[in-house]
Amino acid sequence: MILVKIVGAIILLVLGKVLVSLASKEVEGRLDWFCALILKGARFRLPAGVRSDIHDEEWLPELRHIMERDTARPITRFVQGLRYSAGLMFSARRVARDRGACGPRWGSVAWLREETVIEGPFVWFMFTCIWLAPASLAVGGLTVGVGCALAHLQVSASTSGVLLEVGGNIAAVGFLVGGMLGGRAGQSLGVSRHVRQRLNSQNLSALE
Amino acid sequence: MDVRITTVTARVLRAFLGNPQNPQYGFDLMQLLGLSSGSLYPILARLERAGWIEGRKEDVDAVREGRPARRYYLLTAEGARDARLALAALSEELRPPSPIMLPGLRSDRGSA
Repeated sequence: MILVKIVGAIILLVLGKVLVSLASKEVEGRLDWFCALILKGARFRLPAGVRSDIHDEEWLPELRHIMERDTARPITRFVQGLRYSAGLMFSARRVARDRGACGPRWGSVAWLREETVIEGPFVWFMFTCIWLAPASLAVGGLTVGVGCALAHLQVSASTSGVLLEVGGNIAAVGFLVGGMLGGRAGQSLGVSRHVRQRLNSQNLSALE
Repeated sequence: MDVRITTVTARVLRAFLGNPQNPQYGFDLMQLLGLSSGSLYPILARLERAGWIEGRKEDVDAVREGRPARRYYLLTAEGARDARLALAALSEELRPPSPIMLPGLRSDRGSA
């Protein structure tokens, strides 16, 4: 009986050691992946034309060197990898600019054209969506704030409701009119130029 | 092309001038100078654009080594000359004035 217990304990010990080793390797792999993910975010902040040159050819091999070198312990490697990736995440655009590769600003129409496959009026639709979402949140927050202020001033619920409803409607109409004007401006400025250029190139190729 | 020499840029240049023939890697420079990647890489980009340093890829077989080739930087001949001049100018600019030029300090010494 004692022999069975001893053998069982040894088997459990070996199994436990194997499991701990597997788990630590899994965690280590995830940590590497996390640093690479942050670096991927930095890659996304670079202009499309220099991503391969800067991220793939320089930053990624350097991160692999940090994460795979034998001279440091796993936690040290992780902290250094994290610092490396996070630093580049914040300075990616500065690096691109200092290398003379200026890309369009994030969220701008030019950025949408470069980053996405959408074209024509949909660019402006996406542009409006991107900037409308935070604007809507801001208006929502403002409404809640005004509601709280009215409650604090002991304005009756019915009066507050009317005030907020009127304010909300004015804001909604403002957004609608702003969106329409933005769309019109987009059509007369960027999109029509884009379409015109495409048509011109098609006409030129047809003439040739 | 002119390079704006800050004290951090000067430290990076000093590291390059310390071993002009040695290839300098981004992470090794970070370790050596105690800089973050966010500070170092824009400086390297500026220096490379100005032609003071030159970026090259390691000549290694990625399959055999089991890792991709890293990029390193070397000081160019023109960069070495300009960097020395820039560091000398910065050093001159930051040199503390001699005590003789400080009248307050002189009178203190006289009274003591």
